[in-house]
Amino acid sequence: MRFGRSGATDRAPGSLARRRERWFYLLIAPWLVGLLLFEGGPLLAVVAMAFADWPFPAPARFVGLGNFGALAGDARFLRSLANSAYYAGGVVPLGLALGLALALLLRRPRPGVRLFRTIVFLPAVLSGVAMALLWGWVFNPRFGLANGLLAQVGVAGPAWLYSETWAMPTLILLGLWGAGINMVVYLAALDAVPTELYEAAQLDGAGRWWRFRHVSWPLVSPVTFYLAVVNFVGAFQVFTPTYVLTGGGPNDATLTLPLYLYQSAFTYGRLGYGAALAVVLLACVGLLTLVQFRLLERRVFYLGSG
Amino acid sequence: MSRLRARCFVLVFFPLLGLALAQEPVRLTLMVGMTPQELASFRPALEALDAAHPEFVVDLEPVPQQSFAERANVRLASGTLPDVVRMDGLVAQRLIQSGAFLELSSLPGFDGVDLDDYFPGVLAPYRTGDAIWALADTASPTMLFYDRAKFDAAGVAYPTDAWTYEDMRRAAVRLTRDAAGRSPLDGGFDPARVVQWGWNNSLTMYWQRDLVQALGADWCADVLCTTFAATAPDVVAAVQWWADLVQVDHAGLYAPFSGAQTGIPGSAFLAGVAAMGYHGFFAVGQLNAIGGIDYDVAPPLIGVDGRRRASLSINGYAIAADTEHPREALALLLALTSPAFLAETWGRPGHAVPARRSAAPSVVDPARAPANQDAALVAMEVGAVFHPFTPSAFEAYALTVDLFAAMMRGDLPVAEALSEIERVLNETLAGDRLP
Amino acid sequence: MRVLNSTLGYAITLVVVLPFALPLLWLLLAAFRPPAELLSAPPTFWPERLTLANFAESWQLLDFGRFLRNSALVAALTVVGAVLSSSLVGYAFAVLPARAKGVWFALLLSTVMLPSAVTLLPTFLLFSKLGWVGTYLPLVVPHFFANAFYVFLFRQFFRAMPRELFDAAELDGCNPWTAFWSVALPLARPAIVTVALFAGIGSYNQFLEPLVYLTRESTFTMPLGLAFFQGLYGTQLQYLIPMSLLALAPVAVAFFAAQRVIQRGIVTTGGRA
Repeated sequence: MRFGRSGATDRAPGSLARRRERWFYLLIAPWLVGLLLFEGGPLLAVVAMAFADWPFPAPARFVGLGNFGALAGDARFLRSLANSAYYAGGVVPLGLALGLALALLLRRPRPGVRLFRTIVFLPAVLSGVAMALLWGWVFNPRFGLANGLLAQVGVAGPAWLYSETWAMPTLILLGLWGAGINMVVYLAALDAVPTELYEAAQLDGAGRWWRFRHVSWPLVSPVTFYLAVVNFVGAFQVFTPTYVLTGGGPNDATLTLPLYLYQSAFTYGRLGYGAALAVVLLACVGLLTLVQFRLLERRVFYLGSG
Repeated sequence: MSRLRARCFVLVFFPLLGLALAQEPVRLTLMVGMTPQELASFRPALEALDAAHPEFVVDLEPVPQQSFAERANVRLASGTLPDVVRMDGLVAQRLIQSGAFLELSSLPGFDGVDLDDYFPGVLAPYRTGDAIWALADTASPTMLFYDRAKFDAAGVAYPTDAWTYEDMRRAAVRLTRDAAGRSPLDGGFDPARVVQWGWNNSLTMYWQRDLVQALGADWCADVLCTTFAATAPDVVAAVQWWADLVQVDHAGLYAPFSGAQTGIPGSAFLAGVAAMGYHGFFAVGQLNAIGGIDYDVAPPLIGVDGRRRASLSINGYAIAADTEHPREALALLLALTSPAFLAETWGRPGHAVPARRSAAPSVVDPARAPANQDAALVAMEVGAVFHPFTPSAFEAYALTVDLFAAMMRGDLPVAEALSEIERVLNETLAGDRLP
Repeated sequence: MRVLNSTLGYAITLVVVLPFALPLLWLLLAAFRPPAELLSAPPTFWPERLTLANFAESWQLLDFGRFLRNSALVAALTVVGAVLSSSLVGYAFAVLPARAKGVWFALLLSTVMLPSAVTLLPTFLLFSKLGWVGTYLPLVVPHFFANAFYVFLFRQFFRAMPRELFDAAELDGCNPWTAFWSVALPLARPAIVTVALFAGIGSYNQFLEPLVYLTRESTFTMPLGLAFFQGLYGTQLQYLIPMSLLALAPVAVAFFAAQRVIQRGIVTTGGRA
């Protein structure tokens, strides 16, 4: 390391910080430009549409807060909000736990581990429609794998996707089947943990649980936080399984907010109402993310900030 | 010397230029929603048609059938609809009412079209009053499909073209089997363990008006079927007939496609668990491709008023209102709906029935199943497109389909369910009513 | 003891992996079954007859070889754009100071909180005016302008690295760009591979955007091709399943191979200098 080069350490801290701030804006320029060019306009357009009644293809007309007022009294909307919350509340924590467990289990280079990792990961990659159809077969009440296995143990399986109580749990299970994505991120994060820390702990006589609790867990907490935020956002956007498998049924039991949004906007052609739903979705997810940042990020341990 | 050369140049160049400009073919985009099998038949036929028409060149834009509405809406909203669009009958009215298409009868070159050559029911969704916005090319009429092996095993005579709904019901009961092989007529029949149903459906959606009319009632109170009167006693009685088929005779299905009852999603007849039922003509292609079911067809059943009725799914071509080449687009449209093209492309392979009487007989192919393909022509004569086909029709369907299922299953009494269905339908379709 | 531990570990692993493997196995078997077995009741796990016809017929119906190549091209371009732009922006958020950084980050995240179907119409209008409809540009170009999910991931990875690394580089006279390019990026290999995997797979499985932006059949991608087997009157499982597996195969191979890179176990502490 060389010190004393011209000016680097001689400048006052304030101007250094300002210089770095300018670099900040320079480096995020790709995103800013993209925002202006591609994303900002459409987002604003959607927000604007929310204040209109647009029974496409008839022309649109301004209705102010009319759509939002209708939303407040729309029982199906409230149901869809509750359903989305149910789904997210189930899939995200369980998916994170499963992903971490799988990563810990499949971490060491044992024979066959690459195959196992691929098997666990593939469901998340399978095209949405094929995966949804497959799941429909697995949980078919009469002939599916699930009830078949349960029958072996002497348990009469439920009607799964055709039952109002079991339909959403079945979809959550489908979401968990895609936990391989979480596993991959955790694998990468665990690999980035410096091995000296484990070695030091082992030298000190620490057992496996201690090493997990005090080394692995804190050091992957940045990624845990990331997955929590990202998975919640994703859970509120999940669409293909509900569309392909249940269509929102039975009796609106699996009508999630994205599905209701899609139906309103595209199937029924009420674009203004759909846009209002989108704004509500944005607000909910945004609020949830904000809460996570406020409450959880302070508990994240960043090795670099030491 | 150079002046001579210049004169030669002018004498040669400009006529050549004129010739070149005159022969420059127009590029037309044609957007179609088709299955891969239909595309396989359509592509070569389109190429041949294209070669025979030097005045235009066709760029084909295939779209997956289920996503057609999305693509069409996006293009419509951005004003980039292709020159010629092929669409089904249920989405047509919404696009027509948005002003997406050119009115055909006012275009020069249209007068030669023989509208009487079309079967009576096929053009309804493409018209508003006297205006014609699209021409149908093919249709899939509902016909009676039956599984010969199951009829033989039960000792029941095959359906004839004189069968009524009561004939069907009697046979359906005898063709229903539980897991132990008993029919509802035998003692000890277990309705909870049915493995074979006599009839592949019941009355499960509000588009099945023909099933109510066949029993002497009608729940549509206006021509477009945007006002419902479903609580009259004769309507209730007709619907009860179907509910009894499910709940009393155990011979019909309240969940014909979802798999909740049969255990396998999709058509019960194709899955081999229904002895007979109504199916669109397109099932011929599917059944022949899958194989394994020895089936035949019969014309739709005769109602109490002595009339036969069938439902139609139709496809047709329209021209975008803002096309830059209306004359060539019309030429393409007329070529695509000409009897010769229809007979060559759609008839033989068994995709659907051509919508024109002059081309329809081409659908009969003695070399393939089923035997009684003439039934398709009978069905076309009496076929009517699903009503309503107005813009809110899909929403109305989604809001009432669960009510129908509950009604057929027995969770709701028929009269009560019909009252709620009527309320929901009238509310949802209110915006589609003609003033 | 260690042998017991190891066998026990193996047993647990097998039990955990089994629920993931069984449905995939059924799918694999289903691809080789005749349609009559797939579409009739009752569906069974083990096939009665095996056939290659499903693959052959679906290959003939639509040009899936072409679709695969197209998907690969779009995915490759997407990966390049996503990795480059997201790592850069993620580095900035992780390391550089700015007064309104929280606001910018919130704005960044908000761009991905809506399902893409919602902004489809206005976005399509934009690309239509640019004349990009019918090309791959609308599918690829936006990824060169950073995606919030990947930026967020890079931010987490960079923040988890020791700050001294980057500070040292800057004290050495590097500007933040050089610090990023020469110091941070080479150390972020696990993150790069992860983002490359997700961006590639995300692009590969995308359906809605190819549906509205691609017009000529020769440009179609795999998901679009697969969608043709879903008709208005039924889904052709006997073709959808084999071709879905075909679409899955390159991803499985790529993932298998990529693991070697992740598995190499990079030690990121620069404090060893």
